[in-house]
Amino acid sequence: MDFNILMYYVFGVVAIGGGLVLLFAKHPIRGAMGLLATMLALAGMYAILQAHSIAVFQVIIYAGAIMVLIIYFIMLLDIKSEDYLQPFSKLFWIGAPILVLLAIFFIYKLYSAIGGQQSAFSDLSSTSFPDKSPANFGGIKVFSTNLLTKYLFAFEYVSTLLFAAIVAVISIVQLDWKGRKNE
Amino acid sequence: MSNPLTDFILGSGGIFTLSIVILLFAIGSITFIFRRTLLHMLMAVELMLNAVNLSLIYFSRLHQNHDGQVLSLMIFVVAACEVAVGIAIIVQLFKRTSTISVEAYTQERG
Repeated sequence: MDFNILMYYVFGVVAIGGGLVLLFAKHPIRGAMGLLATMLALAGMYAILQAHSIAVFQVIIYAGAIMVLIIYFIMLLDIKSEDYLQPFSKLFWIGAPILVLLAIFFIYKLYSAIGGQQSAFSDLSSTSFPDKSPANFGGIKVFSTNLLTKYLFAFEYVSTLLFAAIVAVISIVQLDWKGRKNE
Repeated sequence: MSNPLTDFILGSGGIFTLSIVILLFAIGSITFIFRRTLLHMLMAVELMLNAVNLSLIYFSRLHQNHDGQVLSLMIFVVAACEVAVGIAIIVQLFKRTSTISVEAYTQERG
């Protein structure tokens, strides 16, 4: 078996395991570690899927910036142990199996929709895109050219969203506990 | 054309990848609905966004099209904004009640 394919399976299993750690961990810092494992495993999957720039962004932005922010605030908040003595809602043992069954049903429908043929995705791809592995797919050059020409408006628009989020965070943090503005 | 990785991605890797996506999204939604801790709920939203990102990247590779990669970069920025605002709201709520359990926030009840 090719090493990349083996690592793809390993990364997929690690991603699911990290999600389960997030679900069942009592303390939030353990859940954050599970989420971090999921994000790094997904970065590996992106790299195998030839989205190298997205894999780098996943490590830098998600694992580097967002998770550091979350872990920093988990450590900043003085969380007492009685906050997570009852980690799950009372309906967990009713609702969670329903959602798991729904997920299994979706996977079954996905598998039966292609009729068990392993080449169904390949056929789907080859009908409209005959060249299956062009050399210039992926890579930062094509990606950034697309980002700054075809998607320039979306790029600027999402930067506006980032600016709005900064203003929102500043105005939320300024409030005191009665909802008045702190002087 | 006999690259085993390409054959895998276009063949049996599709079912595996989409199963991973569905399972990660299900785990994220179970965590969001049934965990009673604000920080777990915030991280569960991140997990669901990551699952959607994986499907975007996979289909971008399948169709040899870069639109999915650009869209997943936009999702990164949206996730960053959401975490910043969510953390600020959690800090404000924690300053009020000194707990992160959602059982304490019942004043919104009708």
